[in-house]
Amino acid sequence: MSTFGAVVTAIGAVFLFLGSLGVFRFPDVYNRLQAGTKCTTLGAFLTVIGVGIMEPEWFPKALLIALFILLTNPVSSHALGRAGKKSGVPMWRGSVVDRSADFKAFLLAIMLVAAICVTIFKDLMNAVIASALVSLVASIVFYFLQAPDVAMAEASIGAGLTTGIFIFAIRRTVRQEDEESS
Amino acid sequence: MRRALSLIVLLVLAVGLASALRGPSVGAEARRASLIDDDEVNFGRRYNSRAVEETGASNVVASVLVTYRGLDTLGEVTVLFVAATGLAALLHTGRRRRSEREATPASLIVFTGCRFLFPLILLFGAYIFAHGHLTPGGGFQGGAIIASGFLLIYLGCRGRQPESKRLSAVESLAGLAFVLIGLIGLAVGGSFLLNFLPEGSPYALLSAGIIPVVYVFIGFKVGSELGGIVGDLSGAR
Amino acid sequence: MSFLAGYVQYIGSFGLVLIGLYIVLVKTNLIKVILGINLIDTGVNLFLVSVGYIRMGTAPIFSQAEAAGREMVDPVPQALVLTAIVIGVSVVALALSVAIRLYEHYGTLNLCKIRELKW
Repeated sequence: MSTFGAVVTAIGAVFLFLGSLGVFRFPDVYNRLQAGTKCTTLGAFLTVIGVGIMEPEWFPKALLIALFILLTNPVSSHALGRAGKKSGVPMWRGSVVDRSADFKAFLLAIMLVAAICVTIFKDLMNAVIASALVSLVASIVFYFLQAPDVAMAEASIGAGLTTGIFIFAIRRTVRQEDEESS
Repeated sequence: MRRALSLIVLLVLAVGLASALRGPSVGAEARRASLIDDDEVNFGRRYNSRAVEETGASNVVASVLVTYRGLDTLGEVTVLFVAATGLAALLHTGRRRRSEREATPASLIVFTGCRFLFPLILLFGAYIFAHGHLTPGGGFQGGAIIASGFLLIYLGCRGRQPESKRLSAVESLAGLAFVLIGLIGLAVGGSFLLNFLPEGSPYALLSAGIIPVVYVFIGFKVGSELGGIVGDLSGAR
Repeated sequence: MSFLAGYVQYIGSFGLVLIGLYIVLVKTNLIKVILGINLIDTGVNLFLVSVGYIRMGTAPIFSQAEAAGREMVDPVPQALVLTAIVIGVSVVALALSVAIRLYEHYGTLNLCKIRELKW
């Protein structure tokens, strides 16, 4: 049992070391608070529990101490962070919260898949519908790039009128792509 | 053989393009750090900061299109006109072979629905180009919506088509009016497409000088032109 | 994915241009080739608008509600792209009318069979 407790204490010490390394190296207050809270809470928790495992009659007291640390450390870090934000401590200039990047990546993936569908569909009507989908997704991406005029123009012209003139042209010529495409 | 060659070319292009993208190295994001450079004019920032008091339009893109870069818009209207003329010339010469599969006339429900929707679409397009200097929109977007109204007519109401001569007349007159406004600006102030009407107060409908007037004419021109293109391609004219 | 936040749209626009270029180089049906030209147009327009984009910027329109809060994105590429979209559709329309006349003359739209256009 005592080796298991020693291992747990050692892991807790490693986390405490990583937390202090983070507090030393991170560039601004808010990042340092992250390191200071998460790593040190977990490190202290594991250290105390490890000691409790090594000496079993101390275990209830150790558990109480660990729970107390778990309750108070995050709350105090939250208060510190909030105080820093309210008193105007500036963020590191590299930290940008751009949550739309994931959604933009998703839209662009749809656009590229639709563009690949344009090349592989043999029926030209299907290829034209896929091209209309490309234009539609492109107009949504234009909106996310803060260009509403361009989004309107691309949606009406690219997705509407271009599809219409392609369908008229297909109606007057061929419908299927030939099988022999070298 | 051709496919392999093309894939190699595309691979080389892709590698070249990817190596150019080490972080934002082009465009407005890269230049954001250097705020005011005295030796380098940043047109975007200049137009953003001075558009409202110089032209009176709230939509900066509208003032860029009509006032600051008005000659480019005139060139674009010319390109559109040349394309429409070339298309009409290509599709109307040759054998006058009416298509064998004479289309069955549309059913009454489709016909009535399209006929009901068409003026509403025209009204919506007119709203967009009339408010082009205040909200997102403008002459080209409004014209495209009007042209999609014409597309609806060519698809849904096969018996009755718009008169082709009237569309061409509207298109030519609108283009002529745009050039005339530029010439009036030349006569009044000394430079082509000068903003000679009063600026008015911002956010009002009648403001921003010649921008709403030019947008109205561009809306008419682009709408009738793209409608004519659609009609030519559908074979109805 | 947020490490790509600056330039995920560049990847999309270059991807569109490359796919369109592949269609133009490899496919033999003329209408497919014109679809590829349309894709290249869309990709280039997306690239031009992305050049003017500033992270956390806002659209270049003054409205009554907000004062000059955040920085506005560049309006010049947007005006340029508006023009380019309309020119793109007129080029595609003209190309399709040429395709229709070719079909009426040769009876096929396969580029290998149309004798003057031998790749």
